[in-house]
Amino acid sequence: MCDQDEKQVILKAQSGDAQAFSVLVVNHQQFLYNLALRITSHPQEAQDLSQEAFLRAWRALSSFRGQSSFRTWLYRILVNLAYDRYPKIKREMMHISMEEELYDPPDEPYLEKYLDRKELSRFLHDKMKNLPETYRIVLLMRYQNDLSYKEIASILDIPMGSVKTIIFRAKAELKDLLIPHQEVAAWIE
Amino acid sequence: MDRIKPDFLDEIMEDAFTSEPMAPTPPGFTKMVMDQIQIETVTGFQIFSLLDLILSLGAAFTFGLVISLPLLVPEQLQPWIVWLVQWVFYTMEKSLVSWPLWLFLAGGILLVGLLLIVFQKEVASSLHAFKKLQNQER
Repeated sequence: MCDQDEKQVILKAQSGDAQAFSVLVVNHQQFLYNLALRITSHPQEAQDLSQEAFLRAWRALSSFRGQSSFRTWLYRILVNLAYDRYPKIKREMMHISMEEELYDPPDEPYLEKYLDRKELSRFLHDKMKNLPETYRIVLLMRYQNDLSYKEIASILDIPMGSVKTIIFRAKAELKDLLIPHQEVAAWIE
Repeated sequence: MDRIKPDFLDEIMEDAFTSEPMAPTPPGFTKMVMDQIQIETVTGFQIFSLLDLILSLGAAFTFGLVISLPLLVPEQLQPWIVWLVQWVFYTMEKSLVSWPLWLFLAGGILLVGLLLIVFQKEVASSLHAFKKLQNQER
């Protein structure tokens, strides 16, 4: 759905058209549910959280002025709800320091020709599950929903520098795991 | 030996971030959300607001009547009203120490208990719906 279409649907929903709101639910439910799943790590809780976010959005729809995009507004509702229910997530987000020296693992020589992209992807997906929730939330927003650093910072109510730090750290942690893995893969070959 | 260029490593990771499989939404998710919205739209206006309106009107009317009663009642009737109020208070005080009141209360409690047992299912479901509404308001 393009932005113009979505604006029309939002206007209809704002006038009380529940059918129009259901179109918005269908469009955003998967991402909202996945975001909730990353926050709660529990399917039932995630379902409950995302449903409540939609209900709050419905109630507050008249206050949506279109200053931010609808999805940013919706995700902010979910994140605020999550911060209320899971203060641990909020604490973790707030404690990400931007001043801390960032460690970037050195680029060691490993064989590009041995890199099997599919296998690597599988390996990385597996390892990404072990990243802290805060990292996974930011990665989901950045890479799967294409949100800008500014949008993510505004949704999570953290400085933009923290968003960059989180992404950097997530990559560094994965790099740390990827390099030895490739070393072994190359040795087996 | 070819080196992995840092850019290439970044690209691999970003590919993995982008392609990480997303969990499908639970079946019937949209319907559940829309059902809740429907409940909220109906109960929000048709029950709560209407009830609020009736109760407020009733309270305002009673209050107004009590305030304006001394002005509206003819002077000749005032002693009779004073007597009536005193008689009501006397009867109420008397009934506090009488058997019929206690029997009536015990009977009432038993009746409510019986109704709760008979309509257990309905009560449980409405309590659940009420709790859900309260949670949403929070």
